[in-house]
Amino acid sequence: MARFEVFGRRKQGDDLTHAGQVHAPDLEAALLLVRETHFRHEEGIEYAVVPSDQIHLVPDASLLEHEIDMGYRQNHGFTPFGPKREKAREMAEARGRGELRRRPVPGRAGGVASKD
Amino acid sequence: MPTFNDDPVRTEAFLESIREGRLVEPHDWMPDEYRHRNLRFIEMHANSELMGALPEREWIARAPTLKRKRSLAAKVQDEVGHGHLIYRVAESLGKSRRAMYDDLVNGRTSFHNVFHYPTFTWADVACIGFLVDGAAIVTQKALLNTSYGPYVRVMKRVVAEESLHYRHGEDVMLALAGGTDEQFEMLQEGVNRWWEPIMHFFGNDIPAEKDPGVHWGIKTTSNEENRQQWMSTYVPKLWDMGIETPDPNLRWDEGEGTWHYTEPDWDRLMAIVKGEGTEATKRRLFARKAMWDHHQWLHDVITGDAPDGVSEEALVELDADTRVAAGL
Repeated sequence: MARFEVFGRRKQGDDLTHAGQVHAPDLEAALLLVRETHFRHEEGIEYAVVPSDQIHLVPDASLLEHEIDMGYRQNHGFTPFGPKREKAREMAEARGRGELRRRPVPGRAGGVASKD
Repeated sequence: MPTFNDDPVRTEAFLESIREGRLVEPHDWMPDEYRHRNLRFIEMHANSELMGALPEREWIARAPTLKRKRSLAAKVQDEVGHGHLIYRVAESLGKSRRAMYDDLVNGRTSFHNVFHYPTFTWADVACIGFLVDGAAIVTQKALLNTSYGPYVRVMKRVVAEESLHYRHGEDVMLALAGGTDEQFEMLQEGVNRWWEPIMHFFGNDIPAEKDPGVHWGIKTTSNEENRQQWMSTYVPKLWDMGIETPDPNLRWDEGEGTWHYTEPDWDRLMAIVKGEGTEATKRRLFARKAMWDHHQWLHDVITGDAPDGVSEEALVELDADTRVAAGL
């Protein structure tokens, strides 16, 4: 008996995601068993199987960890923006460019300075 | 555009189903015209991700601080990664990734106008990260509703990463806007340079019902809708920083609910994307092609396309002098 990993697509447009495993003597039997085991209640519109010995887990999950702070790969590496925007606004006022932000823009018909 | 002999009845049923929101998968039947147009669109997108990494890559070594260097290098890596993801999607429509890359470096296929331009100062990096990536977010968010399943799934990830790039861009932008007068002036000059390319980026104002991209369910929003949406989000941010927009006719009309602006010169756009680009395009493509040609032997050895008797083991056995003499 061989073991197969099962992947299913729940609805049109979804990713194929791991749904479980089956044991079967061959591919044809595996495909039939998957229908009866994992997809008999309309759990999906499509499925696929892969022999389990063809799935190779990364041997050392610590490869996903970082030795140094890599916050610049995430939004939190840049936030909060409030103080930076405030400083740019103050500098704009100091340079005599404050009028620009009192022009009408969507949601601000005119005359009201923006806040965020 | 070649001519297609798609069965009209089947094609109409196909169009009807995608209008109802069905996603097309690679193994589904699809009209040849859909396959052709979708491939061309996605291939251009992939080309743009790859070519888009190059103007910024030129600044990694010149970034002003270590923090900026790391952040920019990470962004360039992401863009190349998007290229890889999107080339795989294009490949599922029937053209090999190798053929696409070959066409790109030999100038046979196109990429977005904004990646043809030279970069002069660090402010160009700010403008690319903030204005260009902002524009890319607008058009790419619209692609989350495109009709091709593999493209939708990849775009979810790409859009999330583009939002991060936009953070990087806004951070650089605000640092310059809130910096010295010299930095502020540099930023203003950068915005002046990038304004027209960004107006061009969205394409001309072709009504959605006359846009083949919309008809075939590849695009879901019109060019003008995208441009208007970009202006609504980004123009107020520029004005907030005290940065002037270089179009004297630019204004928001509250009554009409639209932005008025000066029509950009469309001939100039065509000269860039359909012509020879700029000196920067020639330089970047030359460098990519030189790299591609020079590394061809390695590719062939790894994929097994090398002549009989040439293998990785055989190459390792060559002594160093022989390798140098052979240009390896």
